[in-house]
Amino acid sequence: MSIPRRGVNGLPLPTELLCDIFRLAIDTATPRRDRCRLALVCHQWWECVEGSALLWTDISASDGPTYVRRALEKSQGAMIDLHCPDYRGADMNLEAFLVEAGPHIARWHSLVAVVLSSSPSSESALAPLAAAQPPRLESLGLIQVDPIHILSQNVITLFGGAPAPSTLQDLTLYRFQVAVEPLSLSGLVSLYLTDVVTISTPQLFEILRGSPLLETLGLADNPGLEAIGSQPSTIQPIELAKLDSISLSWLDNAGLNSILSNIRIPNCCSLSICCDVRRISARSILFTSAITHILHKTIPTTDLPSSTIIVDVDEDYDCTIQF
Amino acid sequence: MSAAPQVTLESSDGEKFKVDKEVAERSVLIKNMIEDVGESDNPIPLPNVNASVLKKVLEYCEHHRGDPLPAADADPSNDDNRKRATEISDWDQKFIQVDQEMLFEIILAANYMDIKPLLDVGCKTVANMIKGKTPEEIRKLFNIVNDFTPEEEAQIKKENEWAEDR
Repeated sequence: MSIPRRGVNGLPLPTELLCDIFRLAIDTATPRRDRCRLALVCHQWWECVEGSALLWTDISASDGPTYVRRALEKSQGAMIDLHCPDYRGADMNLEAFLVEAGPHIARWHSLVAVVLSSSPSSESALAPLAAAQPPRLESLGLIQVDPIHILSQNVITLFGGAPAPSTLQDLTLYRFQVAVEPLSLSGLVSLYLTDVVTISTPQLFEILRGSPLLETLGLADNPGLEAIGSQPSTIQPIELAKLDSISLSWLDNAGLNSILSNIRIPNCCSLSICCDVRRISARSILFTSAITHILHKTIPTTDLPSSTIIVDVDEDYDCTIQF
Repeated sequence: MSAAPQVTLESSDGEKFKVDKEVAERSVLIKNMIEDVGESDNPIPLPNVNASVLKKVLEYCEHHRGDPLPAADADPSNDDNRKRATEISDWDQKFIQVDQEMLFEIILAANYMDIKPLLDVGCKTVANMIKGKTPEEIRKLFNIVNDFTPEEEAQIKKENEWAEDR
């Protein structure tokens, strides 16, 4: 559309500053509505909205194909954040969304994809991601909503079997079966794996060893995280000096013991463990001398917050150790 | 103990301000000028900033004189910067409580003098004024005239698939 501008009107600021202000004013949850509101104020603002690629980088499948295409075109030259939410009424499923976004894979900055059981198979929906590596992807979240769907889900190999991009910092897999080993993950800042059957304890250790800047770790219901063998003490401890928060839920107790035995987390402020320790045998597997280093912290000082370990057994019995 | 080195700044309307070099160097523009020209008793001219605005800018620089300087290569598209949209410290909020004309003058001066933290405070303040408002409310707030014809307005709404509930 071409709208001729008439006279001086708007704010007494150059376009680049107006664009910076708009980026701050646009809520990432409602970018489409906010952009439109700004564009409707006056010609100056409309020109800024239409001409600033950085204002079009949050792209959601819930906005529909016409708008997604428009945002992909308008954001040319900028990195894009893609979001395909669990939006049952949407006229654009994940497969259609990624078909549109696929040609722009070099610009993918983040992708969060929620897959419904009723949508096409995860494998076909994620074809662009399975075929090629987004070279500058920093954040990836793949979420399967339906727990029953795990049973019928094939293991997906991402990026055509190539390693994850070196830029990847945040990874969330929720009930989504991805072949972990080929990714050669390292350099992560956050890692959340829930109901992922394809991760083993040695693979997890490789990831942790290669991610010294890891800040948050969440593991839940990962059956492959088992004890790593009879001599865990022969493994070099994994130093995670930046790790601030760990949540370990419903893992195999022996596997949980292996993880806690082999990591060193001197600055961790929150360790939450949710497990079954009702039986003496289960408790004895988890609470061995190999994990006592978790409790051996320096005395809290005014500039360091106190740390908390919560062992949540069930609704009636919480065991909290604060230090 | 020797006194802290000082420099003199000259506003567009000829007023001179003698300030500690450390304070003046919160401005990347001034820091670079001092490095290029070397130590000099001559005032540093700031032809784009008048005295009342420069006084205000120097008040900010004085308060933040010991703060770490932002990285020169900071990525402006970094998502963290956007998440901090409403985060303005108490002192900065009080400092930036000025009339609109002065607010825009401070933003322009911060941009010209290359004082990134002050520019951020100014931009965040304007962004917070805009957030959640309708086009009409924004026009009223900033005294902007609706210069669209009804047809143009309808076209923009159509192109953006305008829907209030989206």
